[in-house]
Amino acid sequence: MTYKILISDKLGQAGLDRLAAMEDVSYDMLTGLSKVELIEKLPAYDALIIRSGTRPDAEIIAAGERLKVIGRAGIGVDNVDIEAATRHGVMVMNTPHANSVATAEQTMALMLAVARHTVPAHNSLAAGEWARSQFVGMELDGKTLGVLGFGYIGRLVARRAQAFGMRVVAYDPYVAEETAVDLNVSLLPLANVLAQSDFITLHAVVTPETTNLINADTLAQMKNGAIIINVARGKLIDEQALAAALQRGKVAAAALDVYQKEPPEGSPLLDLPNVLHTPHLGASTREAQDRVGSEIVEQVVDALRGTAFRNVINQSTIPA
Amino acid sequence: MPLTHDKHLPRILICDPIHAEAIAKLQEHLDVDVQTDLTREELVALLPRYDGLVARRHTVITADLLQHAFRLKIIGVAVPTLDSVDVTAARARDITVVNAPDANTLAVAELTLGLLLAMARRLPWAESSLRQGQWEPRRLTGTGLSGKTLGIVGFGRIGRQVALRAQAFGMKVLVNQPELTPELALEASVEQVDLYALLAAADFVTLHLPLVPETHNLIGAAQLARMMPSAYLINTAQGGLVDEAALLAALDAERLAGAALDVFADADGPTAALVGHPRVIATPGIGAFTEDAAREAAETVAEQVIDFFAITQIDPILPLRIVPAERVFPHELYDQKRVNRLAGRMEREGVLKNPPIVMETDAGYMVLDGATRSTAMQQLGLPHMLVQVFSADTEGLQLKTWYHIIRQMDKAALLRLLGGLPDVRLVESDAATVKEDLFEYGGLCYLQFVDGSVFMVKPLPEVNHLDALNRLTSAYIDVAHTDRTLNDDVVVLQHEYPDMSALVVFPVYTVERVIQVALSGRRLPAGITRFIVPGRILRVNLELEVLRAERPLREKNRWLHERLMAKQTQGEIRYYAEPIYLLDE
Repeated sequence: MTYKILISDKLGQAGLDRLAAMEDVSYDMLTGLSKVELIEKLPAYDALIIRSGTRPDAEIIAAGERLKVIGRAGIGVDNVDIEAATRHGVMVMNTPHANSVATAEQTMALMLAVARHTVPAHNSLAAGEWARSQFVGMELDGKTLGVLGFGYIGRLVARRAQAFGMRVVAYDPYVAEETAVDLNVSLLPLANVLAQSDFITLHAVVTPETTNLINADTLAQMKNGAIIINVARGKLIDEQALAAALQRGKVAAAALDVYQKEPPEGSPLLDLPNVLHTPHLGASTREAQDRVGSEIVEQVVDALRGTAFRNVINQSTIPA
Repeated sequence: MPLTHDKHLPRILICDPIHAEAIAKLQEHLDVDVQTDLTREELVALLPRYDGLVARRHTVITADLLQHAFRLKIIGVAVPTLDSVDVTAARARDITVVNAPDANTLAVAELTLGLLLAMARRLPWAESSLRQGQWEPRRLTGTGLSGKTLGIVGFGRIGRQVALRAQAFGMKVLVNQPELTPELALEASVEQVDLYALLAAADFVTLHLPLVPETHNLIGAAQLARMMPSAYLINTAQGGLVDEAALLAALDAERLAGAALDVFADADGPTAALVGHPRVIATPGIGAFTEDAAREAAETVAEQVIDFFAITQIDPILPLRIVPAERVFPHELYDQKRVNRLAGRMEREGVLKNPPIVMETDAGYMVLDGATRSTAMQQLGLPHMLVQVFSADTEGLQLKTWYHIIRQMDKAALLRLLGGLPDVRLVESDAATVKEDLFEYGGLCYLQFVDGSVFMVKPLPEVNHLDALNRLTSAYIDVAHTDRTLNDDVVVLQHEYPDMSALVVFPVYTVERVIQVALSGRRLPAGITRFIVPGRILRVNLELEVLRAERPLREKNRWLHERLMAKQTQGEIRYYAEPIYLLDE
């Protein structure tokens, strides 16, 4: 039999090439469909592959008479009604690790850029100034990096930072001591990580506990002149409190790729000179996009064939 | 400037701003003035008062200026290069020049990776887009590093540090470095290729070489044409390495994806077309510009200046010196049992009777005589050591070679023992020519038996001569009774040693060769070299407590100086010009 897959958001070429090479699969990539059009088309398909643009709600999912899998090329699944999917026995899966290397690389890119004032130095030179004495930087070598959230990405960052001669400490109440020891990282209570770190980088998921993890109270526990990097989620930082700490010099500088609200219109952090901003580019490399595409394609087809069920969020839907 | 000065302390002038921690360190040990706004005339006027000068690159130290430096003994420049100092003129005046060649290594390596990542992730453009109120992540998609190839042109100190960091990102590293040995490439997990192969294969190319006539415009139109259109060029080394016009043309024609530059051909500032190019990241020469690098450079130089005076400020009445124990190293093997015995005796007696004789080299103090004593002192954990110091050109210093007399061993057994060693072979030779042959064919030594037969000991090919010689000598020292002699006449020796089996004759070593061996970290066999030193100082009987005390080296040396002065005044130092025989050794 042939499995039919509908791709309703733009998917990278690497994933499409993989699908084209499979004999038991056919696909259609139809982007920009209205909800009505999607409901009309979906009954013919066994699987739906989306990114963040398509929002499969209960009505759409109910229309998918043959639908067995919704594959999200990427991490966030807030655009999918998971409860409805579970009710209809539809598996929802994502690609949690495909972006990790890109995110770790962006973390290091921002850390090095902040340490050396690379972007303002570039802007000043491009504007015709030669003002090198304004850009005395700091080295990473010998400094302490605090990783808040020591999951897959946090570990990739730790390994890279260690190559720069950094000492790495981490806070993560859900990680076993041995995991950290194997990586030559000290797992410490949050207060100790905050007090010891010259650089702090966030790699936690957003939960009620981690929302506004960086707030007036935790900022006060940091070393004077600490530097904060956030390539994870905007909601981890109380932006008002961080802006105040940056203005006082308590925090020397920050590099932010994510914001409470995106785009970050009206954020108090936008006008500060000691903040480096990028518009949510953590996962944005060609390699990561290719990988997201090929991983979701492999996962969806494996699930349709019943050979493997990877990264399924609503596990109760996995056929026995 | 303070009105009074400690007249015992050497005076140091710091004439450029250096890191505060280094100033504090210098002040702990020396009499320091900081005058960083001097005009040239003021500096000329002040310089005659100082024993040491500490500067950065700002003060240019010319031959002219040094004419006024009557007392100056050392110049410390807290930068990696020496281009602000007329080193030849300084040396001619016997002024030592020190600097901090490694201080900027990490700063430059980190900036290189920083620029590489900034380029890959388009940071300046991401930032300006967002600051202009736009939100267009799709247009700013970057490039990953993992699995990509980095080409490093010039694999010195900085290139190596760049390689280590790039490897942590999962990059493959190719290098181009003319004198790189395969072993070194293997050790660094890099692949050595020629320049064109590197340019053709690398996703990122970074330059880490000095600017010399041969490297000027090393990367020109022809080289850029070899690079992939998707590749990036990074230069944090020297401006003149890249032909900027050719680079601009390649960028405009989209034959290169981008460039990140911290250095420019024109030292006064780069051309606007280049730094304003939409695919160029340009920074104004900030490669070495970190506070850490400045501190490191200043501290390195401060330490060297402090050590210099700690050791040499006192005009010694005898060539005795207290030096850091870790700076003392032997040139020959020693017997660990004898070291243990001597260490035990010294511990019980609490004194060092006779100081080891050392020669001062760039790498520290090489022991000429007293390997057992110096090793015993190191074993006792003494931080400092008393030594008698010679230099290679001390008049009357001679190196002779001991020969070994092997006694009470049957000829056949000895031939079996030595012939059975894995890395040598014994060749029967002619007594009349063996000396010349030894020199000519590079034998390790020869054996002369009492029956007149002679065997040359030759190392097998690809065997390290020193290792083979060490194995050979320990083989017979372990089993036979061995004595040392300077005489190579077997007939005469036989009268002295009736139970003698054979004489082992070694090639003559030169002082230079011994230094070479020791500096390479290898050791000669024990008891081959015999240094004849004029004016050997004996029976110093220095309390080990003095060496052990936690006091600065400078204070200990001053104390030593005072003690010797007192002894001299009281007539307690006696000098014998005659060579002597001792009957109780």
